[in-house]
Amino acid sequence: MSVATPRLLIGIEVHLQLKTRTKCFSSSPVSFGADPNTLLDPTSAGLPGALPVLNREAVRQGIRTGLALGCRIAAITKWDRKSYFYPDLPKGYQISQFDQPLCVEGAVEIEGDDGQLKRVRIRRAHLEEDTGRSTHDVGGSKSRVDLNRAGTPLLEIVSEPDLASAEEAVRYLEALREIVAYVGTSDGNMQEGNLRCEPNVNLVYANGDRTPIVEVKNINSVQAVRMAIEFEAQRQAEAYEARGETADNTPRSTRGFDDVRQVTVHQRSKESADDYRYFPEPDLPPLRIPVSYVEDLRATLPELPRVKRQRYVDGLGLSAYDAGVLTADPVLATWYEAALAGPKGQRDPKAVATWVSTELLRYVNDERLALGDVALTPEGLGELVDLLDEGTITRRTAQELFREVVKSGASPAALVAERGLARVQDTGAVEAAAAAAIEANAAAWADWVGGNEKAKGRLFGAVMKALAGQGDPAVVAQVLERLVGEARGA
Amino acid sequence: MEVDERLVRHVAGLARLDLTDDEVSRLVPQMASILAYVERVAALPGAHETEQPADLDAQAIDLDALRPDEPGTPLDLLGLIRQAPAGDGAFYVVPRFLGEDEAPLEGDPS
Amino acid sequence: MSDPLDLPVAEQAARVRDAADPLTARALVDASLARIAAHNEALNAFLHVAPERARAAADRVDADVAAGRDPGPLAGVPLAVKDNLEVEGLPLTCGSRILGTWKPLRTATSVARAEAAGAVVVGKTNLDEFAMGSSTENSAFGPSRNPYDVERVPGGSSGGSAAAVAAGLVPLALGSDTGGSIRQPAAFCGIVGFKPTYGRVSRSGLVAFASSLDQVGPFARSVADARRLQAVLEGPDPLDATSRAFVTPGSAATPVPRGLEGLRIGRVAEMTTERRVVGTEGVDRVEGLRAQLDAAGATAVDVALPAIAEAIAIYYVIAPAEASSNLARFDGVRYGHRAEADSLERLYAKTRAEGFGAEVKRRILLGTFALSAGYADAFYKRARGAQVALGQAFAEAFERCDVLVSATTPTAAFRLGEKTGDPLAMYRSDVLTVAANLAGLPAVSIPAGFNEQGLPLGLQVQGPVGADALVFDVAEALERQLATCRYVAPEEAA
Repeated sequence: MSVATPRLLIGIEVHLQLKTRTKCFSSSPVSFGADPNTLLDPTSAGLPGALPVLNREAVRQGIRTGLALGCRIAAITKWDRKSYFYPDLPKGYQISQFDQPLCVEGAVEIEGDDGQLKRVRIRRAHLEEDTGRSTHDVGGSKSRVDLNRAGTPLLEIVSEPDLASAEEAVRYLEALREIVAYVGTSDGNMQEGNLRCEPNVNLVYANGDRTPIVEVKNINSVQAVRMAIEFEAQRQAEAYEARGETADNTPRSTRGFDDVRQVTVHQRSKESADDYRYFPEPDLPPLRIPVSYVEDLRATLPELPRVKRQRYVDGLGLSAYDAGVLTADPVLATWYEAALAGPKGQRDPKAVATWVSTELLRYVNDERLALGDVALTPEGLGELVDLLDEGTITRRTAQELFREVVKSGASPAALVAERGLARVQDTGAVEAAAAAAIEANAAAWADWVGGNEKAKGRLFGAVMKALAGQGDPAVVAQVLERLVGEARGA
Repeated sequence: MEVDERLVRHVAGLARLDLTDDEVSRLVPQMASILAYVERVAALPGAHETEQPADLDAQAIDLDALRPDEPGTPLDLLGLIRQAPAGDGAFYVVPRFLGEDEAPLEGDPS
Repeated sequence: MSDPLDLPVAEQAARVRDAADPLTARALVDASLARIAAHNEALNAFLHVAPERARAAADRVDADVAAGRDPGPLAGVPLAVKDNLEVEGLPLTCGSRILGTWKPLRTATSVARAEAAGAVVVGKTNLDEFAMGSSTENSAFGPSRNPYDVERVPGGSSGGSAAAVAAGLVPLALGSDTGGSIRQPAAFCGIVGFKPTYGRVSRSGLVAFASSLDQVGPFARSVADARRLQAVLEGPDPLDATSRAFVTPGSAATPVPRGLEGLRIGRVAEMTTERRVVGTEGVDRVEGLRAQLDAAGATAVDVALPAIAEAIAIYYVIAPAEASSNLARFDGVRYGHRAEADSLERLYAKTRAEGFGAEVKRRILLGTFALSAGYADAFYKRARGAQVALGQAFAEAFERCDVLVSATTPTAAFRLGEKTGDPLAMYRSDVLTVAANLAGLPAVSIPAGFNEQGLPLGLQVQGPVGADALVFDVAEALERQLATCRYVAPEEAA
């Protein structure tokens, strides 16, 4: 049989936890790290008599995410029950959306393996509730159920199988994560489980043969996505070549990724399709979403990362590298843009970018801080840039000042005034002027060193003149006194 | 509508209901007669209409009817967990099962 | 009527609210508790009586009156609550073993509203397990008995509540109606039972049977009493997304002191003699009523509603489908009964096998089947389509008449055990009541005299969606009309 290099087809289902204060269908708080079973209410615990009531904010965040993914938002959306028995699922059904999802037909742009822009189509994104979590005694006989997570709002984002490699899959997930971080609808953190993904992987051969689709679960990092897909591609090719396994003779299956061995492990075959017995959720009426509401959300959506990056390069003249660094995190980009905005108009984008991407980020990384915990404000950095740009202070002074104000948050301009750090008050500048004055007035200098205090005035005048009248008399006097003291002591 | 033991047992499996053999033999004719009766829904007016957007719109509610994102009054959680048929004071406890997000400990990777 | 407990509810409450009147809430509640103690053994109407809680609540009402605070329009009136409604601190069984010793952590909105209006909960009443049945014979705790004949059923599923009111143990009770579970027992027990328009009353705290059909409603001895309780129950509830406000007046609207003059009273052909269903004993009463209606100045209109006769088929797909899902939460993990088992799958299947009774199992299986892959299209989806068409047929009918009048049930109360062997026959006895649930209509059953065996019969008034006040108005007028006539149905076999 043909062993020509097959094409890899990857689609990804992402479960994204939306940022809300309370659960999707009830009013207990959403938070992480709480004691087990302390974030419950009758609805999320599945008590008899308890009913779901939809959280408006979950809908809003779902729509904002959908818009950021370029989706069309349904004018009417509805909820359905998906039934299965599981201890994590207190009601015996999950409230989800079956045939009228909130968002449909979007796309995420990534860089394809060929270096060209690639549109990864989003089939749909629907709202649903999360399940609880269980822990299992290793080798023991018990499992323990914590329902704190049950009812947390999720957006399930389903892509078309448009991804052709593990690398593309990783870039898709990174792009998705970046987008949701920008619109602020989710933390998008895979380790904390607020972004979970299940790739669907199969191969297509030139002769039309397809390997059976495998859904991979239990993926907790971007690295794991890469390894799982690469493993699957290899495994499916071997199964096809060695045993002729194709979608026609082998059912779809679910495999779990084993982090330790870096392999996928068979979990179950879908010989008979899962019978989830979907039907419309009778406890929740359908929801009407006016166009005006969607358009308001669209209008207030922040600039998305790809657009921003392009603008930094085209509009601000930054290098692609700097633009990439500054836009990697929306908080950083916002910080940068705030520092860029001066009272007299926009500051030099490159100058500000350099300060932010080198000095500020180094400090943040060295101190292991979040940007929000840094004392220095964007306005503070802007002042510093202005002081340097206007020539008020030297670069060395600026760097010293940065190291101080980044910790203290003090205003650089105020410090310069208070300590007399302006370039003309800079003892270095004064000393240079003094040295020149001494050389030019050697006789007067010798007189003064010899003890004639009246000769001091001549030197003082010469220094002040050299500083074009901008010198601080006290600093000049101080420098000259020190020099004469040194000369006398030598 | 053909109802046999296999069908009754299949449905009971989906519903997580143990049935005795006696129950199954009683249920086969009962289900058969009930299903034969309700099967007529397929012939009723409207039975083949699928729900139209207009039908959904007639039942639909507006965004302002939704719940604001405000935490509610907390529940007496002690009363909840204390009433669990098996719990350790913090977790609900059940016989060990394979987690959905958990790879089997043993397993042939191929 | 020397006993204050037998006074109209408005009078009981007025006297309790009147600080100068010696009648107290405590006295009413004690009288009710005494009657329960004397008669409940024969009737098995109450599964749980709560004397301490009731007396404490009555004392609070009396303290309010003494302090000059108004305890509300139901001040001190004893209230029985169907045991599928949560009352904080009292057991909740739903007539099932599967809930074990579960005690709810809060009170159902409907019950809380009645309590806020001064009503005093005296106990929880018997029902068919999870409200699935028409006789209370499906209760895990034994059937309730009809006060008119203890060898007969009180109807169901809210049979305990109906029997308690009919026997005078309480003046008011709450029930739930998914396919007739308030109206049918009201008819069997010779009292008034009202099912509101879907969405009028919050379902929060009602253990769901079929969520799209369930409504909580009142039982009482008169339309005025039922209306007084209903008025405090209704209104949107933030805990129930299907509860809503209506533009049409609610039951609290001042009753229109009208007769039947000018009203177009629709008689549904399919509910009467053209198509005989199960038996026509009750139905023929409506035929005879025609002369009464004419005399009262109403216009009788014959309305063709072929869909009604088929409503039972739609109902027995939709209701079990929703029930199979609603009952999935009873899995032995978080509350209630749990079977001994060493694997999770065994735990589920055994817990549910031990905890649920035969009828509940039957309906779970029916509903699971109707939703399952390969069958959902032929059953659930078809039934939904037909349900929509049924609603439209009703809407068209209400363009030709103001209300629809029919018998509530095909027969008077049947004997215990008479129908337990044939589930389908039992289901088909709901034929006159299920359509109102499928269409979300308000409907009431009022007493319409007795058959020659002395068993009560009920008359049902159904109105358009939202026309709860109109249904009450007509029911009050008919109640006056029927009080003046003695009505005997011809003997008629099934």
